[in-house]
Amino acid sequence: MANALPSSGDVPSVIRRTDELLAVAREAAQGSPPAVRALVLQVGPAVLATVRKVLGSSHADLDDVAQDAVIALLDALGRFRGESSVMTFARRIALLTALAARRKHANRLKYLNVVWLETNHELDEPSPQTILAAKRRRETMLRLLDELPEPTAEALALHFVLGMTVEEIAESTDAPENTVWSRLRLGKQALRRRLCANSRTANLLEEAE
Amino acid sequence: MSAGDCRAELVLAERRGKLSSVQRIALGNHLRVCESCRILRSHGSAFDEVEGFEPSDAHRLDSMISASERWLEQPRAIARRPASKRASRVVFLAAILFGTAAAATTAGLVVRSLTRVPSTAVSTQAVEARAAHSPIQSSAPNPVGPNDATVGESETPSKVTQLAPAQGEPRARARSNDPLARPSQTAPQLLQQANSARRSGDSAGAVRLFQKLQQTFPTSREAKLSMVGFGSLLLEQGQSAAALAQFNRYLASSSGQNLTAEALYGKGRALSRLGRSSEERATWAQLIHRFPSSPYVSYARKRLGTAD
Repeated sequence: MANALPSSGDVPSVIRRTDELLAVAREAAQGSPPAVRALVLQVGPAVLATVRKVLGSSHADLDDVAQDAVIALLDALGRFRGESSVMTFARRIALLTALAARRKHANRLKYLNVVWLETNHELDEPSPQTILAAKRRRETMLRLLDELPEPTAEALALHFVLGMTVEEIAESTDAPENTVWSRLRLGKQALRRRLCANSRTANLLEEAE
Repeated sequence: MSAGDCRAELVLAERRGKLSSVQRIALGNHLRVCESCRILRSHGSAFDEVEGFEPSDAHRLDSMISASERWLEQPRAIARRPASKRASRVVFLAAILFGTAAAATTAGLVVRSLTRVPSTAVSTQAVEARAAHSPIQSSAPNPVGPNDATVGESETPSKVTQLAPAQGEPRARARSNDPLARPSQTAPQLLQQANSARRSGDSAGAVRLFQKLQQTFPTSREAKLSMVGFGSLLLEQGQSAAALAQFNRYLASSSGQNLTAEALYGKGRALSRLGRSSEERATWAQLIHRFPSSPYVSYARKRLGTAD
């Protein structure tokens, strides 16, 4: 398992300079309890935030999916070759885990954001209209992600949900940039068709500009 | 420009808060002509809004660490396949037992029919045998009344009834949902059960388990860890002073603990609810100073801006 992680000499210099978690991840992949704990402490908040972006703040399975994402990350460490930062890798694993969980429990999700409206954020609360518009955009996006082929959905989710660039997605998924760009183009076209078909969402989009 | 043919670096830079004033003007101009970036901006930022951390996140992080510890305890090379092999072995054994039982039943029926044993005698023996070996059945209401003429026969059920609570109690406890009923728990088990109870919404059960953990294993690592989760739970229940005590105990337990940032975050929130503004500000300042890359820093900064 541990052999798949790059040694210091194999890692691109940019990553070696900036990714302080790589050494921790390497030790964690070898089954070192302190390293596993340190890794989870470091990436845990990002994993949780990613899961929350997909499932919503008040999803009943938020805790379980976050734990599943951590386990998936630890299982996947053996396949991590240092293409991206450990944090990006962790967020990607969390995103994929959450999307899978969302697909699995798709019919329960329609209730999520209603609860979110009631419970989220103490400070700087946006207006109800803003919250509603954001909620509808998220739902439109997530429903589309449920339906798209997985490679397209993953690229689109990394771009929209996690805000990753084409280069970062290519690094993270080990795919050529042109392939990522092509997937994004297909995904965005599907999203555009969806938005055009849903005039109510399209109106909201126009109002937000 | 149509959807999909723009790499949208400016939009992504804006989402990351890394847009210069010149780039901001360029983005504004670009958005007028690029539908793809308009869609990315509106729909991507909708996800950025779901960023906030909550009081229970320290508990969640704790649970994630517990999950990773369980992962460490499992032999990873074995994975799931041997489990399915074990399962198939169990099914195979069950099939053999079922087959044996079926064969025995059939044989018994044949023998019974051949020897013509009276059915009442057979059923009585069966009931007695069941009563003698099954405390649950024997603890059921006795159909024989107290004034029944067959007093001598009632001795057996009464003996069984006396035995029944002693034998049946553990089973009844095991079946009950009372998390405290489980015997001889270790500190990790108690912490896990407390977190599970909390996740399932059983706050009262979680409180009892957290208390039991801290009382039974006061010096264990789990008891120390539980202070943050327990404090968060108390905070959710509106018991700010008790929550503050938990966070303070964790922070005082030793330096360099893993959940110190979370404990400071909880402490700040507890102080906020108690109206102790100056201490709250000091806590947020400490959190920002000691954990500048913590996810709680943005919240701490907001509070420093709004705390009295």
